[in-house]
Amino acid sequence: MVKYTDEELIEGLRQRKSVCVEYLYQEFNPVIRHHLSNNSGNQQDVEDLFQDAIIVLYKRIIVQPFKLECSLKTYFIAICKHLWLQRLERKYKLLYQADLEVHEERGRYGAAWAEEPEEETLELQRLFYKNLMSLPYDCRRLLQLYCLKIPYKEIARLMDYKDEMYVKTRKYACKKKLRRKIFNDPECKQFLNYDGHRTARRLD
Amino acid sequence: MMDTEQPGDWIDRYNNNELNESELVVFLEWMKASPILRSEVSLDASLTRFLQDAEVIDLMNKVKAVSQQKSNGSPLMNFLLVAASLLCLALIGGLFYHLDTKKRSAESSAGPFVRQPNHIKPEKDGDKETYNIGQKYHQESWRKTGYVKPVLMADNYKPMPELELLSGSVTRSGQFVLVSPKVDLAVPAGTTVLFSWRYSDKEAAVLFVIMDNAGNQLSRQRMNNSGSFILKTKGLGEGLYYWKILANEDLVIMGKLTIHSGVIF
Repeated sequence: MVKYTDEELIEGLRQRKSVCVEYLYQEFNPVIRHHLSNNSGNQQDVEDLFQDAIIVLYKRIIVQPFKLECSLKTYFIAICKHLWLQRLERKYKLLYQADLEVHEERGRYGAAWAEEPEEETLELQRLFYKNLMSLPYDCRRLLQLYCLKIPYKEIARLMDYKDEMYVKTRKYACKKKLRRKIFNDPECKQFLNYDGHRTARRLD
Repeated sequence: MMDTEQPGDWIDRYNNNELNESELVVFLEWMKASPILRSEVSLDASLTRFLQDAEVIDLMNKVKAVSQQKSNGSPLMNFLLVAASLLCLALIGGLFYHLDTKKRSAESSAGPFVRQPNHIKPEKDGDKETYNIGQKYHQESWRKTGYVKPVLMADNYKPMPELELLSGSVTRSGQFVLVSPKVDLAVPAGTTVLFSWRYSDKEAAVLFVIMDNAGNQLSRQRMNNSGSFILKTKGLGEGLYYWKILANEDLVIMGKLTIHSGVIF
């Protein structure tokens, strides 16, 4: 198997190369699995955490200059551990939210809550991604093109639709479908709070 | 989810700043009154931002592809697993085939077991009597019949000198004429053999007796006077058999019948 240096991996990840993602998965996944197996995580958590950590790493390395002061593996595992800790804290908070609001008010978890947790944002992204992937391909593509502010006329040309009006109608139908899927997803409930204390976190 | 009746795309339009002034006033009133709507508007804004982040979606696609590929195993490993499974199936199949062949071989080398059939009753087939000796012989259970001993296949063809001398001789030829079959007949297993004769003494009690090659009587049957009957050999083991026809307990004619597997060497 080809060995990559940390610099090569960072550059490869910056360009979102599949080989680098695969290499990182092969090298780091056993460590994540080991860590989570000792900290009440399961196989799905391992997959989710790896994806979240890759996104965090990617977002950090695309901001120039990025300087690594330890090995990439150490850095990556630290991200994973940090994210996992955040998730456990958030789960704890969700479980005991009512008690905390009564007894702790703005205590330990209140402070963490105020600073927009990264992990929650990533979980929201995963929720969006999961439901987006369950849409038909043309719907996914249309929504992405629309969100990239590509004009309706150009979208019609790219997707071989008859006119702009059809693009608009189709976009509306696809967005509605996606929104309904997300809102009906059981995992969405934690991001919706109807009592006014919480609203969904905004993505960075 | 929404507890209001505004058009479904108002959330979209609000997030895209596409609502006109009057619509915006109404929408803001709705938002103020409904925490659900506020949540949905916020979530929708997050969704739009997520969709705009094509690079992250691309990266997520790649991670998912790698993850799925790893959980499904590599193509080479899958191929090897399939090949190994097929090999195992072939080995098991081969083993069963070998065991089956060995069993058949053992059975054929042991030869048919000689048993003493019970009394055989004739079946009527038109004007001919049919003696299904072989079938009866085959159907007999070992508990009901006398088990003698297992005999090797080659031994079943071994002629008996005393009976060989008598085979083909017609002791009362003046009155008895055998029309069919030949006195020395070889037939494949399962064949039916037509015995027909002419006998001037219509009142004589005619008996048909079949013996194995050791002279053991397998069947002794009284005939009617129609002058013919059919002998079914189905189920009768391969080997040499002797038959004789008696009239009033006197030997009239004797012959032999060889039953083989279908190929004569």
